[in-house]
Amino acid sequence: MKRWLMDILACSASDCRSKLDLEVYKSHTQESEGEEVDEIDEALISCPKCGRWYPVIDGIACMLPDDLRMDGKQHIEETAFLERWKEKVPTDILKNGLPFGLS
Amino acid sequence: MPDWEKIFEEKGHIFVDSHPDMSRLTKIFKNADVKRILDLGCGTGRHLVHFSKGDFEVSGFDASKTALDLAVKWLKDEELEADVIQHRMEEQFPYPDDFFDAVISIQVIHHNLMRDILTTVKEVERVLKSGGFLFITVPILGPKPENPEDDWKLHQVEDGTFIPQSGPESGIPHHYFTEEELLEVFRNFKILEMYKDVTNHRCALAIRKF
Repeated sequence: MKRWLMDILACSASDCRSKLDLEVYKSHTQESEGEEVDEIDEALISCPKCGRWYPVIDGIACMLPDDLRMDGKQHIEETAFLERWKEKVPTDILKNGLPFGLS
Repeated sequence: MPDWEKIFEEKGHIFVDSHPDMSRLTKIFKNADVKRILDLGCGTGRHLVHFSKGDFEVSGFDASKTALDLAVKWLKDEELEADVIQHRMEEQFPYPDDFFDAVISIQVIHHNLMRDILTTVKEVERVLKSGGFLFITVPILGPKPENPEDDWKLHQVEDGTFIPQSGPESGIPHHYFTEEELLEVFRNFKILEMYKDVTNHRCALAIRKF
């Protein structure tokens, strides 16, 4: 995922559409049209307005609605993301994250 | 809830070749100076790859992370670029108003109840520039198959919408648009072309009205 994507992405929660914050945990550089560009592999996207968080996993911003993040494979993957980066994820997200944290 | 994740896990790249009309569409887009394209329901990325090769700025989203992982790998293998997001089409799109010059959606938007389809169309209108292009394809309801194994046992849940009780897309809604219905649902678009493609899907090329 390119960093500039954050310039256009908006929170997809109903009626929020706020601009989002990004905290990069893992990235690599990649050559694109003769230039070295930063490619984000793992990152935390958070919404300063509604408080939701979204993970970037394997370079893909995962921005599903809350109900589709609460169980099944999606929940397992996103929980594993929080576990993987729990030293860097803000404590309030780990404890009381929206839609979930590490409990 | 449609389980596309399971389908992509089992089948991988369901489609590899681009829709047969994509080369013609590319010429139309080039002539109109289209730059940014959204592939709504991009799946494993056949059209992300196609349009990225054509030097367009390509974005795509899909509900299936498995499909998107395959798309990202395909793009990487071909040394191409596109931005992909995991997102559902019946939710607000995470893009600004008037952002894209063109939106394509191949065999995707019919996989919902009409209420959700209308939300998707409204979001397409929002993110597409005035005068921007829309190209969609949707299936046409055919006669009941003679071979019982090919019968998806369609169960009608609302006018024009059926949920297969068997077959590979069991449990996933299929809305079968009539031509008149497409004209009504996309009334904020000027329809340039409406036709059946070689796979007997109904196609519509349109531009968003000013």
